[in-house]
Amino acid sequence: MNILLSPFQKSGALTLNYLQQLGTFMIMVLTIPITLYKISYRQTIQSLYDTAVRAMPIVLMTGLFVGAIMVIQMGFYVRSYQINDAMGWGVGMLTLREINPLMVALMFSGRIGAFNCAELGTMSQRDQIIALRLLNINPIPYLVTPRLIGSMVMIVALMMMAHLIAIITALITGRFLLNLPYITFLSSFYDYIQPEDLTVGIIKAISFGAIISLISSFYGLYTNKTIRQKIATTVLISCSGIFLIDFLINQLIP
Amino acid sequence: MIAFFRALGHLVFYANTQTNGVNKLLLQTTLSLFKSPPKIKTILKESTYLGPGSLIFITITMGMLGMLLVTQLGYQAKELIGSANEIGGPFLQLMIREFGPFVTGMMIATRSTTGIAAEIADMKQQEQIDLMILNNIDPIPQLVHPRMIAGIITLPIITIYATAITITAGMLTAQYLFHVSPDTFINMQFVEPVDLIQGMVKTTLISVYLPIIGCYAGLQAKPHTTGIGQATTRGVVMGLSAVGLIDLGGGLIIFWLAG
Repeated sequence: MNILLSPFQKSGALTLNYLQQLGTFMIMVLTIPITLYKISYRQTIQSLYDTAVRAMPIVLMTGLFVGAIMVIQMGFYVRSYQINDAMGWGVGMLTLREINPLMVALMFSGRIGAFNCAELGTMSQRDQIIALRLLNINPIPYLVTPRLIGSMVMIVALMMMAHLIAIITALITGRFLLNLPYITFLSSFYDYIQPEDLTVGIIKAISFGAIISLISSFYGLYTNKTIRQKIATTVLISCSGIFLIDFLINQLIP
Repeated sequence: MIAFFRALGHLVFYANTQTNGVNKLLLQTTLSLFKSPPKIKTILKESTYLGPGSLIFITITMGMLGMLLVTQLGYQAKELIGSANEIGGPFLQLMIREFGPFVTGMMIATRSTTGIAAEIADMKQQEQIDLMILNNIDPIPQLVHPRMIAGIITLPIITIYATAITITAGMLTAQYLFHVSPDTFINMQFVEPVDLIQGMVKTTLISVYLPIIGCYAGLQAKPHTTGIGQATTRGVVMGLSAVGLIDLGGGLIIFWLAG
């Protein structure tokens, strides 16, 4: 009888566990707007500073890679069909709208998400969260909301820098690899790229930043695992969430 | 301005040190591979972690990637040409040549490289590696060899599986969203041997380097409480940068050779 029942038992336990985690996550998310007036300004500034400084080198490197890779991959088409005009449009469109937000967010989840999760996980493991509660400080406006604001603001700022670096790299790579004059690239970029391409990228980046910081804070604070498992789960769930949100936004804003 | 150049110099110096470290570990591992071959059992264990362990994750993320790429390409094609019938060929070519190895490599770096780094950093923190050295056991054959061989065996298979999943997801999306039949979508005219070679070269290099980077980041961990977190972060960052660098370098070399 035990053998027959054990799969049901296991699946039931798993479902209950997932529902409990989802409930805790929703409570955490809903507590953020309610306790917004209690936000710690010092922690917010610290978080903005930390996020930007930690993620800047890797994000700039991403911009470098994205610009060069896009030019090389477009270069195969440009060389075989002799369409020099399409270079600025193709590279600019794909970079601003799709590839740069996605790559910056993946890098961000590896750098900032993992770091947030390790930091908060260490704090909760050493009972510092209980100490905060004893001092009548709510951990959500003190720890979670500043990190949320930090990543939502700074991912956009860093993505803008990555856009700039990517386009400069694309210009230089196109000039030296394909003998494409700067003015051809820039004029096709100027003619075909609309402001809404940039806006879609910014909307995507803000959502990615929010999901990365919320998931990393949740797994750092509220789950009973070792730090190693917490970091692994954070990065996994963030990556899946980034792809899911990207797909949804593409469906909503064609 | 000077601060910017100072930061740039620090970055270049740091990247150079880490690259040298990884290459040195790769060389050491390859040289001592024939002296003391690893056990089959440990290789199987590591292969199980690297291969079947990441199937669900790879399926979800790569399926999403296929859906969103086809959606994006389809809307652009509708705007430019008027119909989305032609998107199959360029999509297959880009997938085999570029996005298959690149995005799968990034996913493997976020899952498996961090896992390896955290595991070895944990051993380092509990002083197990120091104990090995004290007992005159070389840690490299024990720790690095099985992971490297498992990576070389399993990661190419995972990449092929991921590319197939992406193409399937793209095919279904094209059928339901743009009414392109699968026969029209699977259009192999664009795919040339050069594209296949480019994808294979990138996949092989990524499969060799990612496990080694995980081991390197784990072995470099400092033996205090934040060591595991630092090793994991470093593993992610180095893995993702290595995937970008390999992709860029492979594309550049093939572009020059094919032209």
